[in-house]
Amino acid sequence: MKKRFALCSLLVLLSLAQADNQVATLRGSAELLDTAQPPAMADEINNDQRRVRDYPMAAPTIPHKIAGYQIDLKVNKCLSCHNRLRVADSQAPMISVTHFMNRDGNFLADVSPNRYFCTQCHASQQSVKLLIENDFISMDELFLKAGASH
Amino acid sequence: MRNAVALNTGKDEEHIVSVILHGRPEHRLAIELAMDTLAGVERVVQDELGKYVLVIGAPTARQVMQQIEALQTIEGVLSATLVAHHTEASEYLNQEIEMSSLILGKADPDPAQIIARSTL
Amino acid sequence: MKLTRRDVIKAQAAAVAASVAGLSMPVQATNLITSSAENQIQWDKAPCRFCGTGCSVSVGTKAGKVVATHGDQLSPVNRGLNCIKGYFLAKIIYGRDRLTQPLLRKTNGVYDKNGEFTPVSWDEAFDAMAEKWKATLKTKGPEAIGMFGSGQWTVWEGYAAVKLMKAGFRSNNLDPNARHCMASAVAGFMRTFGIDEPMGCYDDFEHADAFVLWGSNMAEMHPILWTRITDRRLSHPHVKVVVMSTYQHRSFDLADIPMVFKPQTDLIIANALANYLIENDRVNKDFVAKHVNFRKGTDDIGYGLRPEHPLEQQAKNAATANDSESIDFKAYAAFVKPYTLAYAAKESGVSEPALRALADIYADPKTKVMSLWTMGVNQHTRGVWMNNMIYNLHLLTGKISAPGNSPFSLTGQPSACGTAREVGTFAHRLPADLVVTNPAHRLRAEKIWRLPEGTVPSKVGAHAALQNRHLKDSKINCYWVQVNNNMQAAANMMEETYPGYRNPENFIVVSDAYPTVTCEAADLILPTAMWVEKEGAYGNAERRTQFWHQLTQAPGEARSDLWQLMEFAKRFTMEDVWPAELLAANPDYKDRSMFDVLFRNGTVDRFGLDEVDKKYANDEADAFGFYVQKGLFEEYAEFGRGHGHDLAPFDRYHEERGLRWPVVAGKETQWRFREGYDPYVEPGRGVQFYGKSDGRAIIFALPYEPPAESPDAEYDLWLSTGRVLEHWHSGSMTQRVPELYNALPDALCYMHPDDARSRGLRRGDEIRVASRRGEIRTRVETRGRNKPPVGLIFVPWFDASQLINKCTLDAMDPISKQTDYKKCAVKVAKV
Repeated sequence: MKKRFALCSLLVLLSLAQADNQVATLRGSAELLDTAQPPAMADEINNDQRRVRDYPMAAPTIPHKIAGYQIDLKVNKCLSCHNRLRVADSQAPMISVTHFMNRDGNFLADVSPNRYFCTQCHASQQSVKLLIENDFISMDELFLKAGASH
Repeated sequence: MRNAVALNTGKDEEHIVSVILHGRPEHRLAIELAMDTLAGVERVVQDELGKYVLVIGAPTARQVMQQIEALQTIEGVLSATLVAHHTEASEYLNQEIEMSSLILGKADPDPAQIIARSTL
Repeated sequence: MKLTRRDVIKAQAAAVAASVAGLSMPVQATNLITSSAENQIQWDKAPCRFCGTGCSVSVGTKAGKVVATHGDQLSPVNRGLNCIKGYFLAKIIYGRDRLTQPLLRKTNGVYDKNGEFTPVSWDEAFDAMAEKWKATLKTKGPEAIGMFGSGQWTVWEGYAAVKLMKAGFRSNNLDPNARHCMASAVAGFMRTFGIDEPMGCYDDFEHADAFVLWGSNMAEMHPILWTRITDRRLSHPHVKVVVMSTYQHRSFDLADIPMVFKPQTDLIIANALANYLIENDRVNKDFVAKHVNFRKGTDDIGYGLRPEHPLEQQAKNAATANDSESIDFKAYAAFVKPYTLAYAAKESGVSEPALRALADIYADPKTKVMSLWTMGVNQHTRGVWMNNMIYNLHLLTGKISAPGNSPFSLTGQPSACGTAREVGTFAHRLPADLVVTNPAHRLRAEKIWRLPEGTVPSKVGAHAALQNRHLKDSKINCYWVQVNNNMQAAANMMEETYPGYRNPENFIVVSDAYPTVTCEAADLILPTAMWVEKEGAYGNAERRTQFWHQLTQAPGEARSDLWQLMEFAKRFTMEDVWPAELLAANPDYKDRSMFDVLFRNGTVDRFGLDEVDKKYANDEADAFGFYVQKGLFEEYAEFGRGHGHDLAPFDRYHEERGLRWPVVAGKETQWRFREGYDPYVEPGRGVQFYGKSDGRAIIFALPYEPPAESPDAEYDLWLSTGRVLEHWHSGSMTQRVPELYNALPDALCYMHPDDARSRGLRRGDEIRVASRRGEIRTRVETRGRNKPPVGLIFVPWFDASQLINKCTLDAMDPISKQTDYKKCAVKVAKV
């Protein structure tokens, strides 16, 4: 029964209108019914080079590896370098003052607990080539453009 | 999208933040007097109900926080909430801009060289 | 006058704060930012485009472009925070391959299902659609057309679709992708309470003493709500967090009591907890006596598979899956008696002490407990039962409808509540919890819509999975997909979804902003506007309806779903769509266009362009000549006002950071069913579950039943699927944002190192993951964020090049018709 079912499905599939991959850009070249070789796993960029953010409020991406970094009830690996009292030793950028402010807008002596899990906002970046480019234009570029056209 | 690399130039920095402060309207005069004595704190706009937008500038984040804490201890102040936080080298902040078109003209640094530590 | 860059930065920072505070900047200060209005950065609020948390963001636009977004300081939901996806909202509309023109498959200038996608005008696109729709309606009738919509539709888009399908085309074959996400939750609400949506609200987070995550991974899926739990837990050491799942994930990092259980045994655990309460005399007898009825649910209900499937043939009660019979407390106690903690420990693999610790949390009358669940419970072949059983615990103890005591069914999508559920974009529903099978409900809809009696069809239409089966079986021939990527999202792609879409007898239309795999399988692609390219409204998990204005233009010829739905209606007269008898009885309708009947009915078109806020664009209002969003909303709101679903007046929502319904006398409702909080509770009642006519909620006696497909000798691993933090759903938006793509570019197979070793695999190896139905190729991850136990793998579904739904099974909860995406059997081998 299972074999007949499978054969029926195959026949149905073969008789169907074939769709060549014309528009599914995120899928690459593999047609919908096919499988393609998955890309090799890439490394996290680990050069500590801070990146320009396209607008001030964007959460900065992490310029180093964080694989295996523990953030749980017992320990927060990120804060061991980035907390206020640690930066003299680590030379890591201090977490922004906004991280010391709690939900009600009050300043706390230490990191506000609601900001404890860093990876909810910050991620490292893998060294991969983008599949699709993004044409976001930053406000600075728009200011420049405006100046040029006026 | 620019993927430019930012530089750690080690220059003198300034921190600029904006703050929304809520105070009791009946304490208005006292609050404004106290605010005006704090170094680096500027009143930008306010309403009659006790709401203020302030801008604070200081050389370190620590000093910014101290000013905000000082604001919060003023009698009659209900809350002082940080909204925006921008960090940049003083050298760049000192550069002049033409008012007429407000663009980053030739006098301004290459955006790629701004220490990107503006945060919210 | 000379200014420095410092002056500019200070003015910018101040302007952001001023807009958040609602103050206007003084003229000389604003000059610092602008030389003309065009150069000003304008800040406006909008709900986030992504999950059901419903954060609010401030969107910065300049020269017509979105240049920045940040967390809205004023929103009670997130108070200025975002998750990583939210921080990059400004970029989601700028992927280079935005669809900008309708594309129709053609060969030699003529439509051909095997043809090349060719740019056509909107006119030609609608011509082709109308031709197909009319032909199908003529030859096969309304049951042969279908529509698959979305919990990411705006409120008025969903409402327009409901009218178009149920009143216009008279077809109930309208279902949303929320069927895959919340249907079990909805059925759970209707069975237990008689009315949909949570009785608590997000304020519960700041009051609870314990949080129990039933299969949900809030750290990644409801991140901002997780920050509120983290805050509560880390600030108050007495607070306990329990995390239950079939594999270890990021939420376990905050768990005081972590639990990994065998798939499907959550049913046993739930009953064991109920039994514990009874055996240890922790039932709130007073509450139960006053506010609860008991019923025994029908069991042996099958798995919603095709009728010829052996599992369906064996199921005794597949046809009566939603039935139940009245019992009493004694019978219920006897029913759960066999579910001891020891039994639950043995079956689930969770230790007895851990289960006891969890049980004590529910049992201690002084511990306020919040239960939280999403897809682990809902995407489950007994998901409705799980929903009922979690409510059982809160009802037995009276821990409900009070700050901190809250069984909270979390919503996945941004408007599964606000649109799909509340507007009723389901095969069996109408707005405000009304159903098509109830003649009084149909009459009410016909009255509000100003349509003749008998317009709304009474037969329940095809739900999501059934739509796919009907497409494959040629029973549905014209199909319109909006705001979802169902080729990637639906289970069992090889056997059902793909054959259905590519069936030569079917004409598939897909509206999307980006070219997805669903577009690839379509015959006509319509370029669609996104998010702040149109005026919209969403409703989040805590019943908060939030509005936004149009802030920028859609690219090229892309138009909003709303425009498409309404414009399409112009192609039909009622003679094309209504049966002869209905027209004969109401001859005035015969020559009128469907657009006029549905949208120019005196109600929807009663607000003129003068009511539109001149500060913002509104392309739909301009196109149709009246304030369509307001007209649709106010007509829709008639259904719910006075019936427990009250919405505030339209204009109010543009001013507020949302309001939680029912909004009565201008006030929102935080906790429902409790006197003092909920205006619908009659004075003196204390607690009243007014969704049921006697005001009593129902505790259901329900057993354990096994999953549809478990691992066996050949397919020896459980496959669980789901999301990751950085990507939303099928990745059509987030994969096009560089920071999000670079964070996690490809799907992976998360696997226990022992399972890898025993199959000769090392981390990074290429593998084939195969089920009886299909396979994908992916890579092994043994050290990732998800740490499954031996015997289970997890593969996320955001990757268009790794369509994991080729492997999954379209088994579902037979009551809710929601697919189980968490349990099927696969095998893994090195390529």
